[in-house]
Amino acid sequence: MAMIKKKTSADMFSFLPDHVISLILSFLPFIDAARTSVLSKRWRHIWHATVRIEFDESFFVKREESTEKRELARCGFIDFMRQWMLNYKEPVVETFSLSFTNPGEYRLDMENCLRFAILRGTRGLYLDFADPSWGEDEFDPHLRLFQLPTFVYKHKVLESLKLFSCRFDVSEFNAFSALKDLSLGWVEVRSSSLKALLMNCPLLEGLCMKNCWNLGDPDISGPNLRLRRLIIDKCSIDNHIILMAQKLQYFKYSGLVKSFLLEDQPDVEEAELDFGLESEFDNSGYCGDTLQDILRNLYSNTLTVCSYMLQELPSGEEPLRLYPYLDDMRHLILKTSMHSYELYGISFLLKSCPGLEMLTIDLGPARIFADYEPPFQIQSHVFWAQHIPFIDCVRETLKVVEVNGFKGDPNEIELLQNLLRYGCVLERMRINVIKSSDSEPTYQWRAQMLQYFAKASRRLQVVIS
Amino acid sequence: MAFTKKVTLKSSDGELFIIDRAVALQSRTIQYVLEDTNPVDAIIPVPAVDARTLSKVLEYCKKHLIDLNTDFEDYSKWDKDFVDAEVWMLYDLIMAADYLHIPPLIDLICDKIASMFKGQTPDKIREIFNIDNDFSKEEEEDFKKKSGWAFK
Repeated sequence: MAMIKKKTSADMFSFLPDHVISLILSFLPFIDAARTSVLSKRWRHIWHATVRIEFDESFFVKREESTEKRELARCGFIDFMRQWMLNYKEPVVETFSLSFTNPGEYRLDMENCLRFAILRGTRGLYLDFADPSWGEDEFDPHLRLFQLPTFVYKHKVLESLKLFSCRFDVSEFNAFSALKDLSLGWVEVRSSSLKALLMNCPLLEGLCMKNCWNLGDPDISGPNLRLRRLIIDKCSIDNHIILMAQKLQYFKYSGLVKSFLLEDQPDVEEAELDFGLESEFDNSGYCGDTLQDILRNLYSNTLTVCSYMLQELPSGEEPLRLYPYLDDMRHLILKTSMHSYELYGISFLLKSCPGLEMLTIDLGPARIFADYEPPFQIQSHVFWAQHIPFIDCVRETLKVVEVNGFKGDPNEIELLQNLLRYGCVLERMRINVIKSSDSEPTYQWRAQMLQYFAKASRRLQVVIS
Repeated sequence: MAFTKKVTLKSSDGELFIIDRAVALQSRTIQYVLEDTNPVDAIIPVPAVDARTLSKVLEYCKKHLIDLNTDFEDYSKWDKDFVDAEVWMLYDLIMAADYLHIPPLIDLICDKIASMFKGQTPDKIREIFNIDNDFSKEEEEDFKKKSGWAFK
């Protein structure tokens, strides 16, 4: 015991050699590692040996400042980078990340950074020249982008690459035969380039495309694809997406409603669909049909859907439930405001998933369409009392319900009350009340009320936090 | 060449650990010793590591050998519990892992210790790890000013 006591009151790092401390610091974000330089004299320089380097303009440049001040800060940042690289003594850089807007006149510095990282065998290269002031769904195709220097393509050991607002030559990608993860953003990616890219990088496991333009009708298929994670985020797409990736486990799509051609796509573990970019409600039934088609063909165990989908789903061919059922669905995550206009959509999904075991409701603001037309009349205050008794999964399989951002609005309470009343096999209901709000005590009190409702399941545990 | 299936390790405080050769081979240091000398039934001394720490390290090596087929999630949960220890234990573990050269264990502990730094002020970090600040107040302020970007 005496030994332990002695140890707890000693400076543990005083016994650790510098190289072990620098290993530890390599697991910290760059700026946190830099902050350790002030701990004591010994710590002053240890962080310089970190093998995960991150140069981010925003460390120096604050967006709210005047143009002159920003330009001065940019020069300061460039100086800092030059000095830092000059003083670097480690033989190897594990990952190298560079974020800088409008690199134009600093092109040489950018290239020197890349040379520095490549010379030290970096396996992860993350380049972000996008401007954070660009809107999430706008981009300027005429922008002059930084061109990835040709020497980068000779760096064959690269496993992870991010190119935001950085032009590249897809025909050179065959050099990246070890590449496992690729993120492209704010750049033109034609569907032919995408096809070539998938051919050239046979080991690719993760692909993320964010705000890419001219994607046409992307075709992500191939017999030998190793792709496990795919994210298509707010890209400009013509009509449809073809997807047939044998090993795919995670798929996220965010953008406008497009057709998904998924005929031979095997089950995925998790899918996330976000059509929040849609600005109008479609009364014609076209979007509703398209969404229902996507659900019918995208077999997943876990599915996340958005508020737009909840409003639009019942306008398709089937107004109440999907047929055939989504038998594989185990976990449903709803991003919703629990507005009355979303109720039919929620009921639609619950009725379509007879094997559902877990329901997560993430409450938050949502775009509600004034011209929404429900398939039938909505009687908000008794909606769930009328629907829940006829939902199979609630009676037979639903074990866990989780609500995040609970406020206790009438639609929330009514749903939970009826889940409690009819959920025969419910084991756990977890309510996370929305925090840091003046009304928090009221919300807490409303959550506590749930404890007093009638419960169909004896094993049920209601947890409120 | 006939290898013995068992290997005996001797901790700094004299305790003997008889373990499977495959478990011991996860340590590159021991791997080198075995390759060099191939001692049959010999005892390999581990002078830098005491019995308590060595048994914990071996627990890790056994787990990561047997359960190579467990899926990723189970594994990370076990790892997380494994490093849910007090600071002095982590210190002993990292020293042992560094001496025995077991890269995945080094990474695991480094990641854990690094997580204790995140989002903390320098003062708080000094408190957690008992780091003695030998800067004078002026030196510290001056230094912070020079590296202003990191302390905004």
